[in-house]
Formats: sequence, structure tokens, C-alpha cells
Amino acid sequence: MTTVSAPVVEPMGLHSLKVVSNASESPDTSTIVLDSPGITFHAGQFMMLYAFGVGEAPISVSGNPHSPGTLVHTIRRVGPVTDALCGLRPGDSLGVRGPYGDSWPAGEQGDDLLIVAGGLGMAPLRPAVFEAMANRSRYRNVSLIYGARTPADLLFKDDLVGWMSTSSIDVAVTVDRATSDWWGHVGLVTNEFSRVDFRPESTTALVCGPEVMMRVVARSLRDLGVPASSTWLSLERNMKCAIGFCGHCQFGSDFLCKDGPVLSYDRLAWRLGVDEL
Amino acid sequence: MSFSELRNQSAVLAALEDEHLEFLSSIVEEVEIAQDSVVFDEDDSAEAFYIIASGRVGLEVPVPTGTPMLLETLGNGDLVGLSWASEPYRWKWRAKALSPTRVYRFDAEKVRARCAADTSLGAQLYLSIAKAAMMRLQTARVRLLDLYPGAPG
Ligand SMILES: Cc1cc2nc3c(=O)[nH]c(=O)nc-3n(C[C@H](O)[C@H](O)[C@H](O)COP(=O)(O)OP(=O)(O)OC[C@H]3O[C@@H](n4cnc5c(N)ncnc54)[C@H](O)[C@@H]3O)c2cc1C
Ligand code: FES
Repeated sequence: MTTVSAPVVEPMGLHSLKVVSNASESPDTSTIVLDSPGITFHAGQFMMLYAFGVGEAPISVSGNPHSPGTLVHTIRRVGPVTDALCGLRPGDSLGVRGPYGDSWPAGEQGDDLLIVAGGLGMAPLRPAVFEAMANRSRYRNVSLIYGARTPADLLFKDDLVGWMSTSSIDVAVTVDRATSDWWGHVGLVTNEFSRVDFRPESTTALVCGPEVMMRVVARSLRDLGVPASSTWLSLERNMKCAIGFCGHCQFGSDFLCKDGPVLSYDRLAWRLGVDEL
Repeated sequence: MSFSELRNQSAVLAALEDEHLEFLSSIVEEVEIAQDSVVFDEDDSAEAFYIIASGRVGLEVPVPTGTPMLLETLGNGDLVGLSWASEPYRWKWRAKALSPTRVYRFDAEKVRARCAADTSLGAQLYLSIAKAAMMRLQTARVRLLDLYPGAPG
């Protein structure tokens, strides 16, 4: 398994960055682009975003790792900090620390890459799709399965249309609810396994979404024959320092801010079903 | 169509023995269904089941106002229709072709009669159908949890 070393970070270094644009993705989710000269990141990493006077939140980078100079974040409004971040306008400033955490693994040369996203889980996986497209010859086949609640909740619609129009990646989009004028599928993401091309024993699977969905997906992949060590999940827990000091993000024996957030299913399996862990 | 071709079409049929597939291939009909055509409608008598060769079929619920709600979509190799397999043999939902679709159609009465006479076919086919039905029940339960964040509604 190839691992990529994370860019060197000044642990608590806070940059003040300016917002270049803020666009609505869905009724409750916005994508902000920040002018960030000199900051690089790997797919799967997150930043701590500080809305001045309100507070700080860990937010994954959702942009292209190969487009330096800007940071892209896709944020769902759930409380005070995310509300303030979604409300930022071009020219506004915010504080940024990071990048933190480890990245999605690249998988072995010649493997199939299967990316499974649910809801907002598409945000940390979007950079992985860009990365896979930039290194397309590494894989035999690349597939993206993306599930959302309704068609209106789908994020990155322009990207989806673009990816669907190339033969480099198989894309299957499914929602939980729709009316019969919807062009995609209705059903759980696991229904789509039979509609994309992957060889379970030679597949690296990257999964992000609500934790119950990730559990169901990881178990279904295991039952199909994908080794647990080749299925990678990105987990979320409350975070404060993001550098492994405060213990807020502890998940069993791991601190998700520095040992994660991306971990393989063989390390996680027993912990995923434990109440309140 | 030969029974070996039929076997490659669908996980539901893949588990069946050659002699059983031979019977199914002797009664199969290939049917083209135009986009937006109804394959079967709710409460109609369940006279056949289908395996999708190509295209997309939606199970939908008509609503009094507006566009019907889609319960689930089915694609290549999927079994369309479960209600033919147990009494009262009436469809619970409407199935509609969401794209130009080609299906393999099997006459339910013939299959039920043969299953009653040949318990080995009955056991294998009903086990296969139970597996498909179980998958649908499990995924429907997960969807009931309404896991993904999104706008209410
Ligand atoms: C590594 C990591 C990456 C993340 N990436 C993104 C992202 O790309 N986009 C995005 O919108 N959000 C992301 N989050 C979640 C985001 O950090 C929280 O939604 C945010 O901290 C909530 O802050 P708030 O003040 O707006 O709401 P709060 O008032 O703090 O919380 C509102 C509600 O959200 C719940 N909540 C808070 N934090 C989390 C969390 N970490 N996980 C699950 N539920 C939580 C609370 O329990 C509460 O119910 C990520 C979290 C982590 C740990
Ligand atoms: S957030 Fe402080 S240890 Fe992880």
C-alpha cells in the first residue's frame, strides 16, 4: 500500500485567508473558495476553519489537490460555526489552521479503485476523485458510487455531469427519495455494487458518509470479498486542538485528528458498532 | 435463448441447476418495453416475473397530485416482481420502464405449476427469490433511517 506523507505543517499556525467565492450547493450546503497561496494538501485531509468571533470547526478540503493557490471547503449548516462559515462573502476573512490528518491511500498499481460517498461524505472524497483522474493509469478501473437523500441534495452536480461524460470513471448516482422524472437510481449505495466494475480481491475502497452507512457499506464489501484492510473509512468526532494534544477526538486507542480521520476497516470493525464510542 | 445464456443474465438465475434453467429457457419471452410504459400496475393480477436484460425499471407509487414517487429502481440482471411468488398473486406497486428496456418475461402460472410438481426447482428458485427479497428488505430498512443530511422534506 502506498502512503503519502502529509505536507509539513506549523502545528498551531493560524493563517488569515480571504474568501474568493461562496456558492450554494444545496439548500443547506455551501462551497467556499479561499485564496491560500503556499498551502498544499492531500486528498482526505482537513483544515480547522475559524469564523472570527464565533468559533472553530474541522472541515475537510473538497478541492483539487493539483490546483495550488486555493482551498475549497464544502460546509453544511448545522450550528453556529458552520452557519457563520456558510455566511461568509467574497472578500471576508477567516482563520485557517492545517492541513491535518492523514490522506486517502492510493491503492496498489493495477488495482480497481471504488469510491463510495454518502451525503456530505462526497466533500472529502471529491479530492480523491481528482487524484484518481490525475493518476488514471495507476488503476484498471475507477468507480464512484454516490448516494444522497434526494436529487436536490446532490453536491457537485457539474462535476458529476463531467465525470459521467468520460470513460475514465464509472459513476452511479442513487438517492433515497425521488419522483419518477429523476434520471438516476433510487436505492441504497450497496445496490450499485452490481452496476460498477470492480474485482473485490484487487480493490481499494474509499468510503465516507454517515457512520451507519459506512458500516453497512464496509460489511457488504467484506461479504463480496474486498479485504477489510483495503476498505478505508473517514470518521468524524468532535475536535479541538487537531494536533493530538487535547483528546477530544479519541476513538478507542486512536486520536482521529492525527491517527485518522482515514482508517482501514480492519482497524475499525469492532469499534464501529460500540455505543457512544 | 439457451439456458447458459440465461444463467449469465442474473444472480437470481445463476444459482439454478441446468435442468431448471432449461425449463425456464423453454418458457422465456424476450420483450421490449418502451420508455414510460407500465410493466405492471398495483393491484393487478401478478401473471409474470421479469429479469432486466437492459434498461431501467422503477417501482413507483402514484400520488393524487404530481409526479409519482419512486420507491426503488432496478437495472440489468435485477428481478422485477416478487408478488407472483405468493398469494394473493397481486402486484403491490406499479413497475414502469424509465428508459427503453428489454426484459425476459416468465409466465408465473407455468413457473408456479412446475415448482409445485418439481420441489427441487421450487426450493432453488424460492431460495434465490428469498435472497433477492432479503437484500431489498435490508436496504429498505437502512433507507428508513433517513441517514443523509439534507433539507427537510
Ligand atoms: C475530520 C472532520 C472533517 C469534517 N469535514 C466537514 C466538512 O467537510 N463539511 C462539513 O460541513 N462538516 C464537516 N465536519 C463536521 C463539522 O466539523 C461540524 O459540523 C462542525 O464542527 C459543527 O459546528 P457548529 O458550531 O456549526 O455546530 P455545533 O453546535 O457544534 O453542532 C451542531 C450539531 O452537529 C453535531 N456535530 C458537531 N460536530 C460534529 C462532528 N464532527 N461530527 C458529527 N456531528 C457533529 C453536534 O452534535 C450537534 O448536533 C467535519 C468534522 C470532522 C471531525
Ligand atoms: S482534537 Fe485534540 S487530540 Fe484530536
